Amino acid sequence: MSKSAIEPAFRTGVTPEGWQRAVYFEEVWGTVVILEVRDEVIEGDIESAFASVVEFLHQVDDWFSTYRIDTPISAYRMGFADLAQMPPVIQQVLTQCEEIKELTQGAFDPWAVKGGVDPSGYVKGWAADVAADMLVSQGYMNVSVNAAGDIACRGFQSPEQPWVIGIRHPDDEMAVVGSVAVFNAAIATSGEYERGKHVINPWTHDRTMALKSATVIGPDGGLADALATALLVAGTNGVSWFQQLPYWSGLLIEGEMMHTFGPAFEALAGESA
Amino acid sequence: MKRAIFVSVGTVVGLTATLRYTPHAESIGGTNLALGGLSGNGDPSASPTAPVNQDAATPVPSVSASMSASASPSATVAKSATPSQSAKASATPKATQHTVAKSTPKATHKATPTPKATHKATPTPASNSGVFTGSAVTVSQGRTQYGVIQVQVEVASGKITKIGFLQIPQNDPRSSEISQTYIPVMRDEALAAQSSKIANVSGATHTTEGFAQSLASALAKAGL
Repeated sequence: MSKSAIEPAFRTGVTPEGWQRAVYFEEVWGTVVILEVRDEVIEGDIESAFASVVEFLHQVDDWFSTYRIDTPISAYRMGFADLAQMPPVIQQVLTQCEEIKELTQGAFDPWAVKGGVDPSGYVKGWAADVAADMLVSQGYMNVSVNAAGDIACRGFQSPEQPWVIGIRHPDDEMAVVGSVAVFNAAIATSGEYERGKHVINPWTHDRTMALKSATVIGPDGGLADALATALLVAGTNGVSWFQQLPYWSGLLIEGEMMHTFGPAFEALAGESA
Repeated sequence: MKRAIFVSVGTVVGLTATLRYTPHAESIGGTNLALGGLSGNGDPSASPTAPVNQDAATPVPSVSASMSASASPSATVAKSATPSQSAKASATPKATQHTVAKSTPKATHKATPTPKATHKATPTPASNSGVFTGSAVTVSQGRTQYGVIQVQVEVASGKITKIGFLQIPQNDPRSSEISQTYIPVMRDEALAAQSSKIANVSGATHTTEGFAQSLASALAKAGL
């Protein structure tokens, strides 16, 4: 599938604080997924641990790619297969998508696109989450999985420092508007700058977005991915349903204004009060 | 119902109260990104230059090799003076509002020599300085070939001091858009490798494989 790997994508190094780090690039889903493990001493066979995760990432592609004709989801989209014939994981993901559609009052709607249901807006964040948990279950407690900007974090990036994630500036890919430290959580950002991504407004069926970008932080990667997209479409109207979710935080950029919600930004809110 | 969704999809143990937000533009440290390769871009030991930003009055942190910088002093995301007076405030009851200033931390890099003490993991220091060229990789999406991408990195004392493109895809008007998609991943990885502050960036645009291949090969040659 991928082109001949010219150099191994596995690398190791040491952080400025003296922790060991192991990184793996994998080209999958038309993008690059970066797996990273850190610890004072990385023990065991980290390369085979990465390999098991990489196998899963490609399995996700084999299930969910809408760009390939040989996947179950494509067969379902084209009407060649019933939902009952789908692998259980696809049924579960579609069930989650239905519930999120209801939760977001239709702002997240994988059924609004042409060509049949496309759960891609949930799958990337969900898979990043699963990948992070796979590494944790193999004994690696400090993990970051970056699926092209949808990030799942576990543990710490350096002693006593949870992973610090920058939030991209919507107008400048080289800048960030700020950063958050996240512990055992997922973070996802959707922006109108993502031309390659098939975000469409389910009400207008075009690419009209209410915000420049929406970032959410919370305990579930798939939901984070979907909520970021939903808020991008719904704008501040989505705050009513978003704020009913416990544990979730959001950062919405609307024109020149930045709105923040939830526990991740409470320190900031207190600061400005 | 909504709680049920949360429970049923939750796989994470919990979210502790360690979340915080820094209302400043963080300097993306450690990497000068330049199109057109590295020649003529100055030497890496140059002292920090003024940022391209029009808000240049605020000091930009010099990015030392230790990268132990605390919060950036360049507060380019200014809070609005009266957040509660905005019309939006009524629609978004608990929101905290700030204005978003355009920030352009083209990180100026001060290549302070790396303290050796904590960096003896790689026993090949000789290979950790110099200019390394990645492999030329053809970039394609579906049946369309956009051209060739080739990355060059400049490394001093085991730190990336510059990343540039020797070649970018030019077969198509979309070439600038395409090359824009490579920069975030390059930036992310450079950050992760060198910054103790920000490990990753959320919201980077998606990329294709070409950049990662070329960068990986350049870094492998550099022994990083």
